[in-house]
Amino acid sequence: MAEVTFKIYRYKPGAIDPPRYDTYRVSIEPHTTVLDVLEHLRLDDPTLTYRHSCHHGSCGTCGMLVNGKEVLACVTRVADLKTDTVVIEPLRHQPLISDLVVDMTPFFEKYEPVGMPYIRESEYLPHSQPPEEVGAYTRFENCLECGLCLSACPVVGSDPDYLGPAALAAAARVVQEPRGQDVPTVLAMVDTEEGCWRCHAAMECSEVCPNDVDPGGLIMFLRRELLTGTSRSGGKR
Amino acid sequence: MNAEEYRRPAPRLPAPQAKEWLAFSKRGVGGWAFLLHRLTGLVLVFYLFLHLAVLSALARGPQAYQAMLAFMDSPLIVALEVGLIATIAFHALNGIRLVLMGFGVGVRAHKALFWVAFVLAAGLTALAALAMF
Amino acid sequence: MRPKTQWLWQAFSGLLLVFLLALHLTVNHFAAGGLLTYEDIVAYLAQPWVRVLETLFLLTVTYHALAGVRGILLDLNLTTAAARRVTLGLTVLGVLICAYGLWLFTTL
Repeated sequence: MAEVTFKIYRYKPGAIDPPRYDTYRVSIEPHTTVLDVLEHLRLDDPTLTYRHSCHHGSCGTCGMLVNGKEVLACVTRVADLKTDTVVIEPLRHQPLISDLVVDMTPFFEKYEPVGMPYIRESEYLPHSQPPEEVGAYTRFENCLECGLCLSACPVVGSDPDYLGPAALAAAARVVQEPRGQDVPTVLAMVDTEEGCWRCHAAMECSEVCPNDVDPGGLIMFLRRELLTGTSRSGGKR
Repeated sequence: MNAEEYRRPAPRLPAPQAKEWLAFSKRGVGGWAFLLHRLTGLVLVFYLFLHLAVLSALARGPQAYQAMLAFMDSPLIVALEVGLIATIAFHALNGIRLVLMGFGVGVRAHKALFWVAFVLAAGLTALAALAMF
Repeated sequence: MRPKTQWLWQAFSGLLLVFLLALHLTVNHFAAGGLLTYEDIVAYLAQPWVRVLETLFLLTVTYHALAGVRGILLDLNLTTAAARRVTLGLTVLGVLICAYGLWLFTTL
């Protein structure tokens, strides 16, 4: 068991304003996650706000900056950070509501119009034969809608109108596997100044993505698609 | 409290800023490639103006041009020129990497490609330095 | 110009520059010690194909440089009007640079 110092960004409009960092000392076990620490601290200070739900990296709500890096707090072990001081801050480039909670409205304003279906054909168990009435095995899409990619992207930081990695990746998935969505419409949405041509391939989005969406790679896929029109039929990846 | 009474506090909006391009603490290889490409590009734009300004000596006749050349022979200027070669070489090779990625080539290997561009640029610079000194 | 076309032109001019700049550097500065005197330069530029290549180099490098600057400025979330002013301003600047460069050729 080790003692670790946590410096947590605090901000409440009108109450903790300007923002400040509160410092806490917490004993951690080898398996203690950053989210565990926040839950523990909230027992003493119910005004500490953060978003979370599933505790196992599938809901995508507990995105935050831990020592300057975008992570999901629930699957980030404090021991793995290998520092005595852990700085916890809200995601960048998104409006801040309170403490570690950012407003996801701009995220969904860009992401939802793309209309990516939430399920995709499964690439797992390629040799198994699905039962007749099932047709093909499906699974959920990778994107957790956590917003880490928007926080990591340097271009989103200077241009809030840029569609951004999450929406562009969703668009690329529609092109790869339309499942009834209109591919030309989606391609027209991203073939714009603020679409896939605004990206400068810093690939920070793919670096922080917790679920291997690889938004940067998918933006490059969109470019190739628009430049050469190779997989116009919408083939699967 | 009903819905009309509820007033959401105005969120604190992050100001869009060019300094986000310089966020050093969190950079991966791709982020460094982006930053270096941008900085070397700006340096080269500045150099383009400088180069054209210096070449105005051509219009002022042979004496002015020879005087400019003599000035250019100083070790400091030659060292700066080696830096210029490094800047050009990196921007050119990383530019090729970016074009390839735009056509979907080597995207998964973008980090390795960055290091290829970086090492090749360093090698070319070393060769040029040997030729110049 | 559509953003896709802009990207393609930036890529194309960039790749062209790799060759033109390598040529420009080799001939002007490295081959046989480079062009060392005013007379060398006059003799070099007297060849018609050299004038064609150096002119192409001037136009390409100016386009690529200013389109690059425009790309950076447009990352700053400019208003449509400001973006148009940037494009116009850089176009004028590009024309001036090219005119100056071509005028330099004529003085030799």
